[in-house]
Amino acid sequence: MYKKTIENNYIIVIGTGIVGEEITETEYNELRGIIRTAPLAPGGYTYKLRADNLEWELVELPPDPEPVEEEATSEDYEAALSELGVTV
Amino acid sequence: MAVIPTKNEFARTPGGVTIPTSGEFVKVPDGGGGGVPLYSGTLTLASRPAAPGVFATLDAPNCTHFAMYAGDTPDYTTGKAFWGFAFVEKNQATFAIASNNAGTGVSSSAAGITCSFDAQTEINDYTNSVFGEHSIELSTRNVGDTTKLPQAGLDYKWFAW
Repeated sequence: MYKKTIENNYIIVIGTGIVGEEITETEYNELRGIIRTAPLAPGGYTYKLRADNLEWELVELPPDPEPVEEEATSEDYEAALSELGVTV
Repeated sequence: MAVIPTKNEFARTPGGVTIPTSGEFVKVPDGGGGGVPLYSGTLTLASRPAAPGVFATLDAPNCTHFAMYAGDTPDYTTGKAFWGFAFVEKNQATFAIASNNAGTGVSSSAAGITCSFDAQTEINDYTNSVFGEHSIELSTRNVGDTTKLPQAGLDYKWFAW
């Protein structure tokens, strides 16, 4: 059973076994063809496929968030001490 | 019979290609059997995720494992037709993605996935999966590094069990 997932009027994903709106094999093949011939977006941008008219829309990508270091747990400290040969 | 490498069965080839080693695969019966449920399907992203968040939801209830690859026939011994492999266990939320085009070996020590990569191993902080009662949600945390995301326009095959 072919499906498509739409979010904010953009087609996000198509496939089988995914959660989404059921489509015919004909529509699936049409969408697959469109997706495979997507224009190449410049750096920092992506093209998104509009669900209403099946046209590509250039969308700017947000910057990646700065990585957040996870807080060390007591197990981490114990492991580090253990590696150093320190017993607590 | 779907043949899927297990989490510890990746290896880096001399050429910088990251592929699973041969002969050490999980064999999952098609359609389930032996108490092993199997769900499978295809997944094609229309475009690169433009924002962090869920980009696909798989209809795979009560599963604990998930794998995904692109290409018509995954050739685990050469890496041919093998782009983007993910293997995830429940409660080990981060994908392990290997690609054969950029020689990028990706695993997640933080999530407890211990792939047999060498010192060049990178930490994939980009993609998550959440196993639920009814489905598996695939999401991305970041959108900047395209080599660490499922690629748009590629037909991925996925398995869950």
